[in-house]
Amino acid sequence: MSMEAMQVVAAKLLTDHEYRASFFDAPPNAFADHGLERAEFLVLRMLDASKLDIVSEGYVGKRWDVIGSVFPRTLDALAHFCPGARQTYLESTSTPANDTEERAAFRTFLDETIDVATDERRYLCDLAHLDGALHDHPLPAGLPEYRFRPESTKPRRAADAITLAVAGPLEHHIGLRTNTSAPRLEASSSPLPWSYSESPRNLLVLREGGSFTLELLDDNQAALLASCDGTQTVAALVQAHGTDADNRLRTWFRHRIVEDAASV
Amino acid sequence: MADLPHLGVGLGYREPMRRDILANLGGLDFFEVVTDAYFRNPKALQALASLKTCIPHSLHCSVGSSTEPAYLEKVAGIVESLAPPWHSDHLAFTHAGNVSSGHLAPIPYTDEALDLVVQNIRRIQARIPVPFALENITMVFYWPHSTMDEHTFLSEVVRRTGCHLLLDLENVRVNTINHGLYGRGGRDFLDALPLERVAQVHIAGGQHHKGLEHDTHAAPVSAATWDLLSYLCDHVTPPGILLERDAALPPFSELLAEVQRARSIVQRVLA
Repeated sequence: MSMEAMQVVAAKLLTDHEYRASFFDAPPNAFADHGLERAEFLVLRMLDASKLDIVSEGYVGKRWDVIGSVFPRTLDALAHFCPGARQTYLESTSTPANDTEERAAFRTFLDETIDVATDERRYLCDLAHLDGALHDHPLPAGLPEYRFRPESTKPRRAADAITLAVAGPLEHHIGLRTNTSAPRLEASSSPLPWSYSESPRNLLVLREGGSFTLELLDDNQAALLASCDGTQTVAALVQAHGTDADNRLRTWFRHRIVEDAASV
Repeated sequence: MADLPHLGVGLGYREPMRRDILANLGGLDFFEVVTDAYFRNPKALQALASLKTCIPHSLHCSVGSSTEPAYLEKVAGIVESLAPPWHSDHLAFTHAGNVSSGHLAPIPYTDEALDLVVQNIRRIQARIPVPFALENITMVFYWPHSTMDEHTFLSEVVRRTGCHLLLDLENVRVNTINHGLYGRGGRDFLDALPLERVAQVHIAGGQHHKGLEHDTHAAPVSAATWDLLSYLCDHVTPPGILLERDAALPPFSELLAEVQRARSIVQRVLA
């Protein structure tokens, strides 16, 4: 018996309900249609199809759980724009090999497949971008440790600092006080009229405790952040970028956008 | 088990629990982290690992089909960064050829499968010089052409590779009920295993749905699983006992109470 051939069929039986139905409905001599020898086919036909149905349901649910764990705000928004998204997604995509591919499939679904207005699609894609970044870059444990001494502290961009290139004004549409809030939409009514114009921009995610805010990263701030390479002191940066840089850097330290290269 | 340190009782680390976990570090002895969640950002674990031992637990080594080198490299990166006393994956396949099984799928207990599993575990051991523990899974179906029992298969894998066991007691309970495989509520299964090779134990709660038990990690640990833990601890003291909870998260105090209950079982036996 070919173990791999049997496992391929078993994998399909677990994840594809149409294949499962065709396999168990097939005539006894249809083994070659499934890439199996007769004996292999007979062994797999001994499996309990109804139990596989139940197990498969659980697998589908876990797929959506994976998406929900990475994209919680996006799913909140999807509930407004496209209540049937879960079913559409699970029916239109095959079971991916791993969670990374699941994430990629979901992003493609938002970008290309889902039936929503252009503004809504733009918003959902930006929101998924934010969700993915927050998921991949959790805040380190504990409070940030730094001493703000302008003459010796040398700001360096932290590894988990999040900047986002988004397509629209996401900072105006996301809850400002908690990282679990849905976008600012009226839950009781249609979200329209509503717009999320194309307006590419860069955002900085300022996190503290369990909450975050989004801040527009303008050219001056971007230049300041780019200068935070751990070689220059706060005083030198203030001299180069103006007095506002002092307050900006204090904020960034508090929110772990930068760390002190002189002490870390 | 003299070669493994005794870590105590820990909790599966999940990001939604992060704040509660950090606020209750004193009640938890170690963590288990799912490697796949950190492949994109392994540094995210450094701060946690500086607080408590973190055991890497991977999902897709697929020792029952083929352990892909690229995946193994990612796991190795996480293991090397955490320097744990052991790491683990499952006795399962998650892909066959280019087809994903969607989850941990069982393998047939045959000589051919045994050779394949041994070969894949040796590949893992060659790449990652940290003790490897193999976990028994919930069998969503039982291969009809199996020629040996699960415990015989596991024991032989351990004998031939020198690997350890990650004994999931909830999976033992589920398999006992769904497939009628093991006598005395799963105790016969435990009796037949080389328990001295158990590196870690998983306890969790499952749910009954449409006539089957499901290992959902979404409920409190059942009485039957607590009984299995007591029975196990009457025979050995596992280096690590870990509570898994992934969904339907209760107030964190309830999870701490379950951790403490497991600790009490170990301490009662030691006393």
